[in-house]
Amino acid sequence: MDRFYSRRMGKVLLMLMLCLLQISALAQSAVTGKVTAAGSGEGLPGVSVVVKGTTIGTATAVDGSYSIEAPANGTLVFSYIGYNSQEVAVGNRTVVNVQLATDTKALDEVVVVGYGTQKRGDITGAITSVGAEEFNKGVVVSPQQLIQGKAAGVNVTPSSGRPGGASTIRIRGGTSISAGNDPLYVVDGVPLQLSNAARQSNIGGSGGQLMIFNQEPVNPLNSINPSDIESMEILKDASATAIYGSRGANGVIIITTKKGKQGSISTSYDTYFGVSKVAKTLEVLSADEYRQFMKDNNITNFTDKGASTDWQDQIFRTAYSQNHNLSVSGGTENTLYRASVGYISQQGIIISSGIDNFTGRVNINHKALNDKLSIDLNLGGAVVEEDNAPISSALGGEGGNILKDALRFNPTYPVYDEKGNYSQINQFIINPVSYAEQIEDMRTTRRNLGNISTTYNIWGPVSVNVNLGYTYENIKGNAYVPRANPLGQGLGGLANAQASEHWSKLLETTLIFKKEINANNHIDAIGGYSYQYFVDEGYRTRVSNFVSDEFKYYNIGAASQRDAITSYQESSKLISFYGRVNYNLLDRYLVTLTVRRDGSSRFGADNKWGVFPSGSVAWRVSNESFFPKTDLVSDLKFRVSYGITGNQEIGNLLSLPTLGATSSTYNIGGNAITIVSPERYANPDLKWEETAQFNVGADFQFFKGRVYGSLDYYKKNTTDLLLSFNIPSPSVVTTQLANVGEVENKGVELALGGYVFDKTDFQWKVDLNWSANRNEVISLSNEQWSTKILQNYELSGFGFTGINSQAIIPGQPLGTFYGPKYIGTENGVEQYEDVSGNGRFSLTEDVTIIGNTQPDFTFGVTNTFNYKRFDLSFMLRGSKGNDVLNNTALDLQRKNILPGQNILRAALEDEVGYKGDVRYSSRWIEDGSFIRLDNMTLGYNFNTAKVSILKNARVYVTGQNLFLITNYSGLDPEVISSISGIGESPRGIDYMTYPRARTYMVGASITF
Amino acid sequence: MKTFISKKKSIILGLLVAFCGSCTDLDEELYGRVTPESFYQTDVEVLSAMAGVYSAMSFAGNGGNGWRVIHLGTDEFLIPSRSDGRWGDGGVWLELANHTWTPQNNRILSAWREVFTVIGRANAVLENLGNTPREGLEDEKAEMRAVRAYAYFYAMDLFGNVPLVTQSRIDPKNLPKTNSRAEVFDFVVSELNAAIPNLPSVGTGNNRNNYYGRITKEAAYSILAITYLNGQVYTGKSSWQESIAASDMVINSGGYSLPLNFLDNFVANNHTSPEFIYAITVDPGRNGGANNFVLRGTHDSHRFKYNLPFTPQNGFTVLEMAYDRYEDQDVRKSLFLLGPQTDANGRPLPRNTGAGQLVLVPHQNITNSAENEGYRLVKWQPDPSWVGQSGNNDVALIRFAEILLTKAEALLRSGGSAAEALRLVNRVRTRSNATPLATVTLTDIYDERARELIWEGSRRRDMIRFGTFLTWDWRFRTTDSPKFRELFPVPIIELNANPNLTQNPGY
Repeated sequence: MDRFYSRRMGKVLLMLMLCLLQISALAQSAVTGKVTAAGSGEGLPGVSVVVKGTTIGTATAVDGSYSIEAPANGTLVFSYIGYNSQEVAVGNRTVVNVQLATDTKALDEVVVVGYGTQKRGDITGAITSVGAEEFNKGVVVSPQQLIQGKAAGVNVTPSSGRPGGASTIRIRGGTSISAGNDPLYVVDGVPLQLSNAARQSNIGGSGGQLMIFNQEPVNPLNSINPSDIESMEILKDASATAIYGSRGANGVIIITTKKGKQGSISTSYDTYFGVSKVAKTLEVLSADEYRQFMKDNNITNFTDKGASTDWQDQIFRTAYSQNHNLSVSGGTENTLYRASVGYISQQGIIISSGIDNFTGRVNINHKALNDKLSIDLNLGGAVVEEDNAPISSALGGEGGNILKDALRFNPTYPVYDEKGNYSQINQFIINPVSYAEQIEDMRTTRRNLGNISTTYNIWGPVSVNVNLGYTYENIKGNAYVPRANPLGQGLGGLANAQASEHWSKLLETTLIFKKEINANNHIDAIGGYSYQYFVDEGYRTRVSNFVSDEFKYYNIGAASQRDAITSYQESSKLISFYGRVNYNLLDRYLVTLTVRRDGSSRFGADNKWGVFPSGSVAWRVSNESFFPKTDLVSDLKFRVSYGITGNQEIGNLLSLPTLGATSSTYNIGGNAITIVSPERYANPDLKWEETAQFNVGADFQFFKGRVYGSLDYYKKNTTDLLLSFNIPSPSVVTTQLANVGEVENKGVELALGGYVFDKTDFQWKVDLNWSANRNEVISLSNEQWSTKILQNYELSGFGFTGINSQAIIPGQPLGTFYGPKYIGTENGVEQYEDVSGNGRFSLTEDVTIIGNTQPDFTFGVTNTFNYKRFDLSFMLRGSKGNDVLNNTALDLQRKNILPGQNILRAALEDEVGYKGDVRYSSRWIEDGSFIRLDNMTLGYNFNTAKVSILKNARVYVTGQNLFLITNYSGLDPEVISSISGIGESPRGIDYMTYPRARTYMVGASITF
Repeated sequence: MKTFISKKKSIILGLLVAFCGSCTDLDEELYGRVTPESFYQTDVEVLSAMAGVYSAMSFAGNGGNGWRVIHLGTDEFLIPSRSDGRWGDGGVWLELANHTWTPQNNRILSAWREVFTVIGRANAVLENLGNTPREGLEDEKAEMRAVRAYAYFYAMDLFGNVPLVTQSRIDPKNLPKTNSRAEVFDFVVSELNAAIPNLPSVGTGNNRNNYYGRITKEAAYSILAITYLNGQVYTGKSSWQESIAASDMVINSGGYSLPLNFLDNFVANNHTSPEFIYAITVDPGRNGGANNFVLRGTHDSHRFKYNLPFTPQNGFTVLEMAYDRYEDQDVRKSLFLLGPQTDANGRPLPRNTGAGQLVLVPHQNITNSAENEGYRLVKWQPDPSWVGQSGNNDVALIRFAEILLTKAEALLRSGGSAAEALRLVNRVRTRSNATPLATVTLTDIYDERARELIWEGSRRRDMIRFGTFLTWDWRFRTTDSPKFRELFPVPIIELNANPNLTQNPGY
């Protein structure tokens, strides 16, 4: 689908440019003729006919005839959607008849698949390809956001509004409960492993009042500059992903970076400046309302400092961002090169937060030995510097953070007291401005990613490819809580310095066989071996008790107390054999068979190796002789696939019974004895999760490609789920991972696009994708383990920790909210349904299903308009039927925390009395359906024809997150919380997430 | 595909050797982790495993969630919800204080987990010690059984009916079932008795220092004495004589005495106290736990009184009636803070809000409590060598004084020598300059235990044993509690994790 876009855009640009070229007057004469379709000979109406290099143009009539004034030595350009354009010299003729051939380029376009490429028309699996032209515009730091809303069945959700925050991608629903649902990312042939760095970024340890620090995982794709990406291919069904075996179950996203193009040196510079503001804030009691409440309720022992402060106003700001990218590319027949550098600086909408991202990339492609040898070198590097706001959306916390304290801080306090110091209440509720300005949480990530891929054509159809890859990531975190802040005052200042390194090396050798046996039989096969080795290591030092706030993490030796000094190392290995055969018979019957055998060090001794096969067939019915050759259906292909893929994204060392030394000691007989404790039980049977996926789909084009799309139905069954069982007391090991249970996902995906208008001066294209996924937990038991319900995702907020919000129940989808059912408030006391019907409500018996985070369907619609030199596009994205738990309201919409903490204004309107308890119940589950105007861009392309050095120049304005239509009362229904350690971060639990911004930007790009 | 692989092998082999050392070896590298088979070879390795069990026992004395659950709801301890937002914590503390807790109370969950962590760790160490090829670890195994029995004593005391598990690995197909409180009682008694022959006696040689922090023979007898004292509550059947016998084993060991100064038990360097039978050790300078009572229990301004390097959190208070139990000359009364507060030089301490001196007054409002409400108890003395926010003071879980009072009570209850009971009680009283009693009643002992052992974990047990836990009253507690409140519920999360557990009646 991207191909159409690019072709149209190119053509439009070309025409627009041509129109403006001023050609000296030549003898003009009338040329007439008829444009017909090759093959059928029918006249083609509406074909654009332009005299090359001029603004002179017309369109053909209903029968295909045209008439145009053209110079005798001129050239006519005929173009029509779905057909190849043609240039014809007039050559003193007065009648020029032309036959336009059907454009098959769309189907010949090359799509990147695992370990190779394929022609789009030959693909038998479910793959969505999104090209650079289709990427979302805007202040985009994370490449995941480029494809948000662009592909059916691919759900991209930013974790938060934090600059540079990770986005979560879910392809066809979640298959896994605890092994992660992130797709495998493959960058120029190198599979990335998501680093486990999140657990290291929380300086306070789990729990406690220092859980204020950002715990979102580092986004592994931030090292790739969005403007260096050529295309992103999303492999969805087993036929496409099984070649990645034990890492394919969640889908695969292949990122291909831009290569140089043959020709003279071309230099591009693009830039933008953006302005962001918080999209929405929550209403809390104003100082006057706070005082009034105290008066109305005869509360006297509260503090009124006489001020009137809107704390949210104090912490949110107008944030600016800027981006600069410079690239140089070019090439000769044998060597192509492209080099680029990029810089993005984005301020956060919370004061004192932001990100600076520096990237660089060099791609070189070289051919030698009469094209028998080709060498592709891809090297990318990045330095990402983050200044994080003291905020954490981690679940299960009670403590404050800048957002929570901005909501609950006494509104009668001024920001600064009369002496100019921050006015503070105590060490548990911190002046939000002081949070931002005094507490430091810096993170620097350095990444290198590179590979050299060498292909040698040994003999005729046989080539060998050796791909050597290396990834390196270094994450350095420094944090300081100063003595000057009440939070650090009791600790005498607290500094944390940590660094972790994650690196991997890859060796892949692939034999490639490609042969056209005859005109009707094409075979294309690969077989390979892959070895990938991953290492994680790091250290962390947390110290406290400084004599001065100047030393901080620069000199941790200046602290008199060492709270924690830790280091760790882990490694894992993946060894694989893989093969694939594509067979194309008569250009109508297409078969793909793949198999991968993976061995992973993570699995138990009895299950080290797994085999992942898949097969698919496609029938290009439109190529059958019996298929009517009409314009109505110009291409039609049916696909069926089935295959097995796996998910091995669990931690290391989970199958072995290890003892670990802790950083704690216990003093016995006057000696501090280090505590060594068992970490887990042995599980020699531990293995991957297995997903069997069936897919049936159709790709189609109507009206010569004017309308195009695909429709897929899939059913995925994931068995041997890696479930983390809570081992009941008394067990030294509190959770145990075992392969138990089954989850099913099935769904329908529709991608549909087309040109509503397609005139020379005006085009309007609509692309729609729609998907519905149904998720169901089939079972949570096997011979050994058995459970009817697994509760998970702790609530957050005072008094709520330790209570789970969701439950995994066979027969129900994942993401089921589970708790008491609220039926109203009587006499100021919340009432809940007596589900068991025994005449009284009990928290033990009367809990039930009260909501679900799974949407009924999601969709994205992109509209693109081109009018002369202007282009306008906007994307709407939406979700229907997903529930959201408003944990922020649960925590702060309760009068009984007054006067110590401020509350949400909504609490005044509810009937719960001042002394009334607020409990977790269906009362806090809301409908999170939404429609969002994600992105809108208006651009103008300059006429560069007269400026010989310029190849292209463009300016544009973009708005991001322009409006949100939803009934959800919180900030934003699209939320993902973070959790510590392994497991799936839950969607639909809204607690103190970094709020989304609304962003406006202007940008320009220019190519020499 | 097979053919491709074989063709390829020769080509790739050279590269593989260069690139990866062991290409088919999928064993995991351990990087500093050890396995049960290879560990426990030396004494200190064994000790490092046992240290984890002892460390987990700290819950009973460290002022954390378990400790608070043990003390809230009695007439000696409160955490009021402060009007500045501190210690409200969603009502979890007041729910405990008001006897209105539910199985969802996450602090009860913490207490359950803290208790069962000791049991789980002890089971794991016992299993590993049983599997190690090393011989002669019988004493260590006995020691672990004794610690496990002590933890089961707490489980029995707080939750009553709990699963008895001695396996390290829980079989998911055969989850533990609830045992009755009486069965747990029998288990505690028989395990301690089985362990005692192998435990070292502090009365002999120099075990006091070398063994400090570990369970000795006398510690095991002390646990037995206390268990038997509450036998009627736990089993419905009294066991006074057994309590007396166990107490005598401690008293007659000659290993313990009351130091002249009561306060020596609570200073920073208290590990030498001859009164400690079993204590949890606190060594924050070496990541060995923390004593945070000053942090939690004093007012913000007390940092100037004690020259603290941190600001206290104004959390823990005592009920006025606890203070009122003492005679004025009683040394133990000096541990309380009330009335106008001054710094080390006698200058008035400021309030947090508003002008004027900090004056600690009785509780006025426990749900929206002003900063100066509630008397304070500074039992563990401020330690001049603070490590962060923590003091160094160890916390005794069993002191000799408690055994003396235990024997005295058991004597009176069993019709034994009232004269000896009186002598035992007066021995405790006179040490603290309290007027010696002329005669002694059970109520005297009840009150004396309250004075001597305040905040040392025995008040809830005492109130239940004397039948006052459900009926005691003060300004903010005007209705009696139902009988089932004498046991805490099985936390809802634990019930969900193990459907074989039975919830205690009433919940």
